[in-house]
Amino acid sequence: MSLVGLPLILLTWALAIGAVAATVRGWRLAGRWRMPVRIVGLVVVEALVVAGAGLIVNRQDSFYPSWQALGGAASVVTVPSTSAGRLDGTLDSHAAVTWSPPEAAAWHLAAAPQLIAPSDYAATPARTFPVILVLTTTTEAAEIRPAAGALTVALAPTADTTVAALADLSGRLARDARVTDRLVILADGPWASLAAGWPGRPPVIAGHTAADFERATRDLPAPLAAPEELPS
Amino acid sequence: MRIDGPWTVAVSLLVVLAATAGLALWWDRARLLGRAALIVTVVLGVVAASAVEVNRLTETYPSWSALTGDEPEPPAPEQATPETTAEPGKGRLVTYQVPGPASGMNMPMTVYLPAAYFTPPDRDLDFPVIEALHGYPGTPQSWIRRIDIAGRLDREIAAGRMAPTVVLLPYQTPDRLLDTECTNMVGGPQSETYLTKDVPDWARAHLHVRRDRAGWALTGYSAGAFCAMNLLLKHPDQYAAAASLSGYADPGIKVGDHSEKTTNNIAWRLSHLPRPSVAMWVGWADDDVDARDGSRRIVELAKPPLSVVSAVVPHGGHSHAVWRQMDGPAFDWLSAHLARPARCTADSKR
Repeated sequence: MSLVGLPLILLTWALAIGAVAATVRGWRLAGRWRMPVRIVGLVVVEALVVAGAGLIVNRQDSFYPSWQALGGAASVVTVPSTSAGRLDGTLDSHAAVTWSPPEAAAWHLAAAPQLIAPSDYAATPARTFPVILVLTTTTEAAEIRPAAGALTVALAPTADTTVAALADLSGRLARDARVTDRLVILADGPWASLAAGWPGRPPVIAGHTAADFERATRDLPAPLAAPEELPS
Repeated sequence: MRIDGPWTVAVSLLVVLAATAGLALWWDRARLLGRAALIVTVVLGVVAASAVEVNRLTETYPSWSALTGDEPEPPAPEQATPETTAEPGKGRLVTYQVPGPASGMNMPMTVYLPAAYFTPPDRDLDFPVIEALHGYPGTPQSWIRRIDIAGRLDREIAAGRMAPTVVLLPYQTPDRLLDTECTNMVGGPQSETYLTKDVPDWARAHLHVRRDRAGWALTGYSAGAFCAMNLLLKHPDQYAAAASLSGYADPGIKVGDHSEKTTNNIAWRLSHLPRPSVAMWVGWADDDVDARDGSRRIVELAKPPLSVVSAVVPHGGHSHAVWRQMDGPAFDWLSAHLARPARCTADSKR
């Protein structure tokens, strides 16, 4: 019988009325059973009336829509483990790493992308890192910097580089490094429009000075372990 | 004996039993007035015991002084803010009085300060902020005693799933028996102004918290979930994200200007107004029909640049058991969408 169904409510109130009738009937019972019958009868009536009222409220507001819910819901929370990136062993070196995924040919870049992991990348294998994406005319090592708590990705676009052409970059990066989908773009002047059209409209900062990197880092989430999850 | 403790419920049940026994014993000796008094005593006892249990579940009156209206005002922030944590790795709950010059509301607010708030070198940082809103009926104590928000936040931060974050637990109504749904009610409390103007201004002035939108988010359960989503959509310049635990698409009250059908209606806003670039986590229990249908509708209406993710608990209804499952995933998600703790700005105050 459903906890929020009319049958249970009607049954409860019918039992309450029956309990009232039985208590009235036994009220004048002679002998030593008079008091126990009265007290038990009244307590049963009180309990059934409170239960009947509670069932009506519960039916209206669905606080506990089932007996299962009333008994306490079993937890369905899961904590997925963080997947290692394919380049984790290389990125642990703290130096700029040339990134050459097979898809890069279709990105129409002037040079191979460069990745720089933060200093705590190797020490925190359970964490994923937000991304600072640098769109610049050169990916020379001097131009890109390691950022605290973020993976730096330097791209040197050309006139043929489009947002559409770079559509698979994020997915490819997520396979090769422990990164999240949170990013800030540092864009040199010529690439401002490319940055502005980036999917999800991430924050864009003009330039890539040390101060720009610091500002970008401040705007990003902290590197975190895999979150608790529920079914979607 | 706490008003919301199990002993209070037990004592109230014993009082009902005693009154019931008294009625049975003295019925034959009492005249008409006496019998009426015995019946009234039993009825009042049953009502009081039921009220005690309902209050225990909702924390509408979390203390005897709250019931009598004699609650002492919390100390000033300078005196209230502790210098250390109680234990390493454990944050602290501190209660402040937060005046509302813009709203006219003047309410106590409990604040969760993470352990890092007191621990060098992180204590010099400005922390991201989550405003956590309670349901109706209810008070911030529901978050603390029924959902154990402090324990949950400590665990998520210790596990690295959440960055150290300051969590504000304001009241959403100055009258425990008035449901505002965090709106500015015509001729009534200006809760929206209090929560989106007075509380943030106070926090920025008195706590080490981030000042920028990227560092502020909202969450809530039940009515508080509606509040979180509605305030996010109405103030996207102040908040970056919100998490809804069993929220509705409409407030279910009359605001006084019919805005419950328009600007204070999430479904209407998402259908009729430009969608802001914010992020929402929308969770519900699949057997909680009203919240499920409202939340599903919100998810369906949410389109870019607004981003939304959903989370479903199969069973549990509209209960604290569900919200205790949801709060961990919701806080983790919020932290992943909030800017990190960052170096203090020059004008920050402790």
